[in-house]
Amino acid sequence: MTETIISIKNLHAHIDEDGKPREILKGLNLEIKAGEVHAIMGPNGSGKSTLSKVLAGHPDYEVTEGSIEFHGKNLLELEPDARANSGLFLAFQYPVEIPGVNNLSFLRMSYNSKQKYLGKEEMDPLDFDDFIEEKINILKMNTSFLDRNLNEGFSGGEKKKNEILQMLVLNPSLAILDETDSGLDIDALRIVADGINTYKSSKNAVLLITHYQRLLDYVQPDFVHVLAGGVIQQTGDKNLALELEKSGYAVSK
Amino acid sequence: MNSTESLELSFMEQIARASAGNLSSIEAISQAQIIAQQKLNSAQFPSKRDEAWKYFDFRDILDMDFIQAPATLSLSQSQLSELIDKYVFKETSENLIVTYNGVFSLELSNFKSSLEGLTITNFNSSEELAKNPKAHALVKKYFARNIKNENNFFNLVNTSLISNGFLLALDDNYQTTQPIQVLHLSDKNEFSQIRSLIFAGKNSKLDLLVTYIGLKDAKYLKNSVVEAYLDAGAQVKLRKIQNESKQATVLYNFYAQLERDSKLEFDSYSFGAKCSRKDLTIDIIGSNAHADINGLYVVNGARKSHQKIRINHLAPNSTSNQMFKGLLDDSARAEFNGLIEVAKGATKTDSTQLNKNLLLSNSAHIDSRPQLNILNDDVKCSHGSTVGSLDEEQLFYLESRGLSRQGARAILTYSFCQELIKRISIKSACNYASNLAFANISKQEEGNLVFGTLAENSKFKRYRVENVD
Repeated sequence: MTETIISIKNLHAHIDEDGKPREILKGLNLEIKAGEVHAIMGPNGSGKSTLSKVLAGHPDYEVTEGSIEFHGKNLLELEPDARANSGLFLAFQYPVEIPGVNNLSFLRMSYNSKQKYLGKEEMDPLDFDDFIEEKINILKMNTSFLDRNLNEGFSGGEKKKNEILQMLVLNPSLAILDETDSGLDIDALRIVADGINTYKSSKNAVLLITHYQRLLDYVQPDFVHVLAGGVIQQTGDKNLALELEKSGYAVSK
Repeated sequence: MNSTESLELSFMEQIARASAGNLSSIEAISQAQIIAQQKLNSAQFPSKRDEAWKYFDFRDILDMDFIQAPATLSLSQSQLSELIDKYVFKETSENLIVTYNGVFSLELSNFKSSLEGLTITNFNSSEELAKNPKAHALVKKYFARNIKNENNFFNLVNTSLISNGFLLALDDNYQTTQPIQVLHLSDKNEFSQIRSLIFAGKNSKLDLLVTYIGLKDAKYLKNSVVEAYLDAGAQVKLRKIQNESKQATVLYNFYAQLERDSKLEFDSYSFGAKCSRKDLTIDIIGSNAHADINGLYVVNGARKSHQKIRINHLAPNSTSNQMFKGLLDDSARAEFNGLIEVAKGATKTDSTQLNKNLLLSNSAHIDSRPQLNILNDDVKCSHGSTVGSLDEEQLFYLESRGLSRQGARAILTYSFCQELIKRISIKSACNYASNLAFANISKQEEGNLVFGTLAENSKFKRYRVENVD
């Protein structure tokens, strides 16, 4: 039987707005199994990014109802770092800049945090250089990238590639990509898609959050969901995305 | 009379006693001393009522034992050489100037490179100055040049009480090829006056790293005055790393005068001392001159750090930038008091001033006062200050990459300091400063590891191979 990676049931979540809670997710259900690629599309403000942040454990969002099981464990009990080290990865829509912190050192610290959490041996700097070189080649990135500071002064496209590089380094069991395709030119989009296709296997899963069909030309989804009004309104195969591209979200109403 | 008043009176009396008969045999110096002593005679001990000392706790000075530092070295040269070795960077071991408990020693200093074009001498030695008329002329012209306008009490005390110090002078067009380190080492419970006079001739270039080191828990009061004169077109970089004893109170007065087309980069990194205070005054007297005045202050426990900066734009087309960053933990207190003054006629002045503070604890306290005083049209000035804690979005980003809360906090703390620390071009000194920044916030095991890893400045190997010389 194929392993269920994540199972989200009746998820309700809100954010504080000027001291008043505003509910954004209103009973969302989603199950993702190993080997699957899911795409979530939907109009602006429907709760797509909220879902990704709730999964990663952002402190601004509060889950009020429902459950999330990740590899059979209660995800909501875990701190963000424990979620990451257990195999959940979020590629940010807007990755933050951390000036003065070397990208390579950061990647190694991040990788070794996971190793430590899993009780595995940490990798020394020289071995890590070999390891990272292989990953960076997949993304056709220049190695000078590693000597720069974490996202500092990176272009939009470089930031997105750096997110995918982190994904390849951490090799999560669930990769949530929040609008990783937005702001990419067509060449960068292809490279990012190559990265995702290299990563995906029968043991892990991908959740793509996107506005556009075009990424799905390169990364074939098994399921396409329409998220609107805080719930999954409609689920279909990749043809649903093509349909949405043509006629907009009105079809799902 | 209350106890503070009697301590103040006693301090003033001891200054007067120590000053009497301390006149230099060099006329230029003794003249300045006489002026300083006259000013002190009519001066009051500074108080919180003075705007400049509003946030200063005078007990940090008055509680110290007033033991005047002797004018000669108290350890043998071989004993000292051993001690000094620990605080010298490998890049500067052959370009070294040393003072020990306030006493400058040419013998302990080490200059392997040619001294052609470079003068290093005790400015208060008539014997030395007799041998070097050029140095004598510089002392005459520049020593305590601003004394008539000087009202800082402790600057006057320094002038009045000094017994020695060094002159570092660069001939016109001379350029240092290696950075020079000045090491000020202290380990005695004394009240010491340290003084240096720096002169950079026309179009000369100086790269100076000044380290103030205090040993163990020595409880001393240190009063430093540094004067720097930049002739036309001179470029001076002065990086100052302060790692004084945690029991010490240290006062640092810096005065610089910039002639036309000159450029001063002054970067101060303060980590040690129970109480430290910097008074920086920059007079830009020539057009097209530029001053970059930066500082990082890191304090934890119940320690205090004060920075008072005044930049006077006195000539047209001059520019200045200030960036001061404070990292405060526990119940530490700090003060930033910066003033940019643009005088009449100093048109086209372009000046910025920014003070950023990161408070790691709710009990830490900062008083930040960026100020502008513009007496002229046609200038561009900006100033501001921020006080904040660590950014939640940055913390979350790092945690989402598997780093613990502690580890993420350490990374962001490192990031905050690094903008200024990376300006130290000497790699071992840069790492030294990075480590001191972390050592002076409250310890967290995880953080130690993070700072260690980041301070390696690890370069990717291919890049490293390309850069092998």
